Amino acid sequence: MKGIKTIIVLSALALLAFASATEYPISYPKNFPAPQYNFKNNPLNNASITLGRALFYDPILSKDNSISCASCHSPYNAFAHTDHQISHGINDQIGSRNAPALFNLAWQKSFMWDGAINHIEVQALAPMSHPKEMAETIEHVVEKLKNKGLYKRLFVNAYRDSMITGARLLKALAQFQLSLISGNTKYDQVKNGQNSFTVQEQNGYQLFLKNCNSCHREPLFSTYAFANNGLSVDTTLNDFGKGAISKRSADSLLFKIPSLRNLNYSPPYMHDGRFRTLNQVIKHYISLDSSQVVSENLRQKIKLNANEQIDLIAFLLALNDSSFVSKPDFSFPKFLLPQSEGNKK
Amino acid sequence: MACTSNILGQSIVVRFQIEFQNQALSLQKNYVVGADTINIEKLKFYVSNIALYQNDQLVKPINKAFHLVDLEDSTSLGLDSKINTGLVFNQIKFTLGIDSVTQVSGALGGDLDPTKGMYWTWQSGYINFKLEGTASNCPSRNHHFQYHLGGYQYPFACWQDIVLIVPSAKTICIKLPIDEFLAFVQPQKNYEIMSPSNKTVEYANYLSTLFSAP
Repeated sequence: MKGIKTIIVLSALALLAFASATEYPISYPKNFPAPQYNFKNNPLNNASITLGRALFYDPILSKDNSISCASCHSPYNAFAHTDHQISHGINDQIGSRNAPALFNLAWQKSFMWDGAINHIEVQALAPMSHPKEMAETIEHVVEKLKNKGLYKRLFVNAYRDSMITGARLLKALAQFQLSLISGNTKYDQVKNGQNSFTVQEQNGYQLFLKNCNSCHREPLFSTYAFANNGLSVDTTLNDFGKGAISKRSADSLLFKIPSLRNLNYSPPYMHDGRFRTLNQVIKHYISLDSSQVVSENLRQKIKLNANEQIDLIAFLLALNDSSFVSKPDFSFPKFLLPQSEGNKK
Repeated sequence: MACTSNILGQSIVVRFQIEFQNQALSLQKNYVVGADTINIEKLKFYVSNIALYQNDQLVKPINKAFHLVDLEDSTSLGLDSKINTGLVFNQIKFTLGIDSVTQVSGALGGDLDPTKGMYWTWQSGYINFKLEGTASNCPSRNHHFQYHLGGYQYPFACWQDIVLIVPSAKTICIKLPIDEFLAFVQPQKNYEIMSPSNKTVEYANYLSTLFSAP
């Protein structure tokens, strides 16, 4: 009888080994606008986020179990992919775009550089099925997960039963990504009255407000709209951005405006990763002239002398969130390791 | 399963009868159409908001939820309304495809689960109607044709509201002749529709006229 009791207690403990389905309190700076994502429809909870985190770091999402979301969205790079202009996926195949950094996704209405995805909960379907990224189907991923004891437990924790469906998988992945909030930069601390800019940063901030803020609007440092920033078409890629999706000529060469947070961790820059340094990025913007087709906000010439360029970069460096890239809750979950107690069948 | 089969029970049943050359369509069967031989491998489409009307006045909603009709799953062809017979109605209305509000609502379950093979992955959106097969005169690789009709954004929105005149019977039979759809789209010329476009809308509009309740 005592043995039975022990088994019951151990079974209960095994189910509770991971986070329970308690509400996850989302917190962000007071000066952030209201999120675009409707949290009422999919309230964040610790167990779903833990499931989503496991899925995010597990290469089981790819056809040959070699590529995870984190392969191209590493926490140390603010969930971007560094060292490569264009990200690579399964069998070292090179795609056509630079994997974007992932943070503050709850404030975004559409996803991908071209806005092809209309909701964060369906975003993961794109890389999962892309032949050069994960080359897998969600149907097969669901079948693979059903054979793993770890996921049976994680789904029970998150959904109170072990039924594994595509929708549940996608909602959990979205929950983890929605929890990736970056709001603790020096800029945020200054706005909270907990820190102050140096003279150089303050000067850079003024230059930013004058020249950059219309598209990279504070405090998120992007409007997350789409713009043509005057980059010439790379004829090896022939990527026309949003125009290829909407089939409207007015949308040709429009790409999503990225946030300027965490730039230190997430080079290279631009949709095709053509610039390695912030210096190159600024040189591009000050080189634009009236002969180039650009979005309205860039039609006025940007003029920055050498000192101003340095000051602007000093301000941009105050937008790095070191606590975000090193947050343990966002890192690889050790229970995914094959030898982990939690990952045994 | 023939549409006219005697169904036990007292509730009204809606049954989709997919036809080819006036016969119930069989998957993986060769049909000779003139000089062409056609073989259908896959046919799926979404219906929702099925309701009975009398002279445009709502009598009874049957099924608001999205229902995936899949020829591979014969049980999906029939919908038991759980509504007792005896109602007086002369119309049935339903939506073919997925409306724009549903399309932007994130990950959805049940028949809308993305594992059902009806979701575009590279660009958000459900496929409203999927027809795949081979036609011997189709010039594509392995003579394969694929019509994935979908789209919810202007100007390529293509979900359809359909109204059919029906008798007040226990079994409401809705026919869809796939041979007529193929005669319109001509697989020997147009064999791939994989994204929202003007052609997608044109095909979806025509498809909506092919449903009938004889």
